[in-house]
Amino acid sequence: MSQSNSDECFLLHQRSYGETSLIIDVFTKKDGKISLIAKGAKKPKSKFFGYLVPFHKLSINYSGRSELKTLTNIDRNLMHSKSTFNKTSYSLLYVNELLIKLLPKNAQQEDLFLLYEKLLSDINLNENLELTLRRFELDMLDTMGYGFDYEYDINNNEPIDVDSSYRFVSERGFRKSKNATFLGKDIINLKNRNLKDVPLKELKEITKKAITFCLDGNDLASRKIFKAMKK
Amino acid sequence: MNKDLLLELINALTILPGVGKKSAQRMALYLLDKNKDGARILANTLADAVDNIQRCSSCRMLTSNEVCSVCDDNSRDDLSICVVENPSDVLAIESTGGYRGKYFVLMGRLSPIDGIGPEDIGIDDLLKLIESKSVKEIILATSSTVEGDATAIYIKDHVKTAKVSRISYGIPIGGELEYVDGTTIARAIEGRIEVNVD
Repeated sequence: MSQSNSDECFLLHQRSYGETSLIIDVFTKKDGKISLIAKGAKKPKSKFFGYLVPFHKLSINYSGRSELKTLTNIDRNLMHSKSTFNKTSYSLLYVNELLIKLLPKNAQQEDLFLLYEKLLSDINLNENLELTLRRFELDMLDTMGYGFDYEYDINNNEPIDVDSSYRFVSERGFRKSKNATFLGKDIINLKNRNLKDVPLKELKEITKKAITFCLDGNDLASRKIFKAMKK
Repeated sequence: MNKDLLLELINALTILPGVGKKSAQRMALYLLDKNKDGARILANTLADAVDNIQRCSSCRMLTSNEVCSVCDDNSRDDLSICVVENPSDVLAIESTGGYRGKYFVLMGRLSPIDGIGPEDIGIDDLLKLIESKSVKEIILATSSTVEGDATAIYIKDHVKTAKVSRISYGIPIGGELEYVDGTTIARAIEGRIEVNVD
């Protein structure tokens, strides 16, 4: 007999499977990212119809033993969430693309799940979008083990000096460099997540470099769309 | 050894959506055994269609002419364009008879995760069309999914000269509220309209 699981999750992506079914990628609290098949979900009379939306916490039941499990039930709490799509939602699409590409399958990432939940609620509360995203990116890198050393110079292991200037080396951390614009105090602020006090341009550059490194140098499609939007 | 045409025909028919081996077998036997004339017409029309049907140069709808019948119809309103995702959406709207403007078919929707960007769905062509014909109104009829919404907002963001509207969502005709899902009801309440008795 196949076992039945219940979990909380966020929908990251869905694609068509056959005429009426969908394969969905969800980020669950207990099992990390998993793929489920939602049979008949495209039919208006399906019990899943209208429920499979991203950016809302869903309660699901699924069963099956193979890698692709079957969605058996879905429910959600719609309170306190906005249902309309706006420009901010592009940022969420970006985060979803990031999670799709970075998360390993079937590996529990409960801390990251909670971070994602917080990100969504912060964005709903209209916190500063850019800083909220950057904070999520830094926290995500830390929890996934891609975090960098905020305390020591990676060249000589000396503690970061508040007044010296540093250059960011992706995947590792910071190296003292005379012409760099990033200062020791910015690194301390970065570590303490006082992102308001970190120069925005450098902050963006650092997270972008670190994430591009994690993606093996591949760019994200949503970034290209962002660029086109800003023109 | 001679190739077996019957088997080949059955295999060829299975490329159709929803047609498996069994259905393909039934179709092939019907065409060869019961309705040879119909089969010939089908074969000729299919070959003709494959060779001659292309995208309309103006709206990207499928057509066998340079421009499709909707774009060619002078009685239709040139200044209004309805943007849809697929050719089947045009047929769906046309079957209602309620729209007298023209169309633009995107052939897809923005989906960053699948790597589909603005250039893949012909948004540049749409913007050029709007500019060259000084279109007054754009009606966005993309689907009500996150990707459909993303596409609609992207287009709205890039159209500067025309009025942009989006088709409304809500309760289906004859539907009872009890059986409608929560998001639809929430959107229907957000997009409510004043009751007009005239």
